[in-house]
Amino acid sequence: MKRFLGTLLGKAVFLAEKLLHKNASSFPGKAVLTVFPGYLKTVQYPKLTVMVTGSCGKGSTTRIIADALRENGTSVAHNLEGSNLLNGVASTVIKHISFSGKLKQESLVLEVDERYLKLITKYITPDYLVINNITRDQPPRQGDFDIVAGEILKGIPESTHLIVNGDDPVTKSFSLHKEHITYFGIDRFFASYDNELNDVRDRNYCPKCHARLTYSYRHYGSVGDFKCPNCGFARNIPDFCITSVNKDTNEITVNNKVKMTANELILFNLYNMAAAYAVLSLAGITEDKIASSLNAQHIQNKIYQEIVKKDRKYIALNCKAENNATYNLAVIHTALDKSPKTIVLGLREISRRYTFFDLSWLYDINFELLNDDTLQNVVCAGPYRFDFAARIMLAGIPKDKIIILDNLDHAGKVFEEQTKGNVYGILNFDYIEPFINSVNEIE
Amino acid sequence: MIKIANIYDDLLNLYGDTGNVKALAYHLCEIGEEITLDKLRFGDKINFADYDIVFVGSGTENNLKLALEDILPYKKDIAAYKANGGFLVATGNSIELFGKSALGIFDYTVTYPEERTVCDVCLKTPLFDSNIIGFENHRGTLDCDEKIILEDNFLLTYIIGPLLVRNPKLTDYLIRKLLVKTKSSRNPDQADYSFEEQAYQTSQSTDLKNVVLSQ
Repeated sequence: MKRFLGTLLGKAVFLAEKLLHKNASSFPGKAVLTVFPGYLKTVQYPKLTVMVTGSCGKGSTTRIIADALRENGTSVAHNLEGSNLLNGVASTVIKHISFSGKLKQESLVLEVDERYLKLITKYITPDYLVINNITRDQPPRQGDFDIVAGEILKGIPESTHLIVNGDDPVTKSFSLHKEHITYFGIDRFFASYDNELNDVRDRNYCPKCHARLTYSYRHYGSVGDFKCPNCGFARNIPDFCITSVNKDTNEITVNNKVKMTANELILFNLYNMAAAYAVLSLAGITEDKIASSLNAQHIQNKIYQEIVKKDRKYIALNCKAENNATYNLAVIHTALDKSPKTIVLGLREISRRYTFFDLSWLYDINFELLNDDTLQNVVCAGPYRFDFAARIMLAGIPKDKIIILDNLDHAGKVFEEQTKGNVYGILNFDYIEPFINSVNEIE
Repeated sequence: MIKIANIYDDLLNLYGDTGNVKALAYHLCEIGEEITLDKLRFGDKINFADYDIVFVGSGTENNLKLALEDILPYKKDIAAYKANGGFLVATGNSIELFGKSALGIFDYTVTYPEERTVCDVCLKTPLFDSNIIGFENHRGTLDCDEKIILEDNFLLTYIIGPLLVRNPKLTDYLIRKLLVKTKSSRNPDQADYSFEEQAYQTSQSTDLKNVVLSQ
């Protein structure tokens, strides 16, 4: 009865929102959980429930999984990006539920906030839980990555099968606590490096015995082919591994066998594909069908955009403020281009959640990697332009290469007249649009 | 020649604390001073007496425990280093290493309440006129009133990350003192802090809570 009334209430709120042209995605869930806190426990869930959590790429990975399932004939209920807290998840359930209390779709694919996982798995037990990565992210809210990993661990139900990044000692360390685990990963490819880059890493020591980890190569930070020389804790060969990446054709191969094309060879994109591949394979979809669904044309990418104006490439790399990993991947990607280049840095708001003035994460980004003769100019724009300029100066980049702009309004003219080479916008997501707009103004 | 050590740089580097080392090294080089920079890690032998200034930064609680295990045998060395005028800058929760229940260099004790302390800070110090600004993000808390502990040439604070970048006056102050200590003839006025100064002005224009430190 409670379930029926809850469903009725939720559906009514959805209808009211529709009539009022309001779109607060978490509100119907909030309304129902306020009146019936145990509502989610009463629902009959489909045969396949997948959750994806971690610091970056939850939204993209769930979207890839949901699209591929649909393409292969499985109907999917899927939460919209951002509605990944308890109320948002409840809204998704209410939206797709029938009055008999059963989800109408054959599968449920949820992006789940890493700090809310334990609240959500109290009510919904996923068959598979993907942990993409756990990085430094929103430190004022999250504290640190060890805290986040601990919170995730508390939220993993006994029967849930884990699918984690096997290249990352932070996510791999779940193997010290859990048994049912499948690993995905990426072998050495053109963007991997083996020199001891002077960068900041999350995990340098073995989580089991505290010896210093050694690496045969790294992809970024502490992610790569790691091994503890003391106790044997190591990456090993992941169950689902991207074994080759072709720089020219964008063709990737999984487990030396299954070929598909990635639309962009940005590392997080490859990891999202590997994670999705693992889920789809465990869900029983055949290799060729997975490959065909994951092929480039189907995956919308938000990380990378490229525009060519007057023989110069303008590349927008979408990063997340307060998350050094996204910036470091953009820096590594930019450094691969050995032709003359300019970089553009900027952000409008450090956080949408709070008003703290904390830019300490700028010092966890390895801008030093860009300090060479190919770097022509660095444009620092926006309210924090001087913080960026100080960071760039302290990376050893000559001050005369730095151009300071109040914002990116009409910056196209500045790019054209005052900078040289390909232009890489290493930007917070709220500065992507101003960057693209200013580039499009170039006649 | 000024000799810098960054201890546990691969364990205690959680909140951009490496920025402090970068800022000091950059501006010393800018004025023509020669420097050495040693990164000393878990298990390395640390000869405190070899250095003019030592930096230590924030870490996860697990990493801080590891660092504590490694640093405890140096209790006497650190006390001697302090008494002999050695400089030390400890940011973030590394302040906890030096308290009563750890190295015992200072008298404060650390407790761990449920809620983390996460806040902007802006405070007066006896070092110079302008306020010191920064950000705190930690679980432990000390039983003393000072937000920045200054004793001999040790400076310890829960403020995280690039404290010296955000406070160019503090970098300038440290450089002047280090030049005196090492009897260097370099001219500290030749350092250019204009980017840091302008960044400082930006943060001053936002609403920072003014915590006044009485000393």
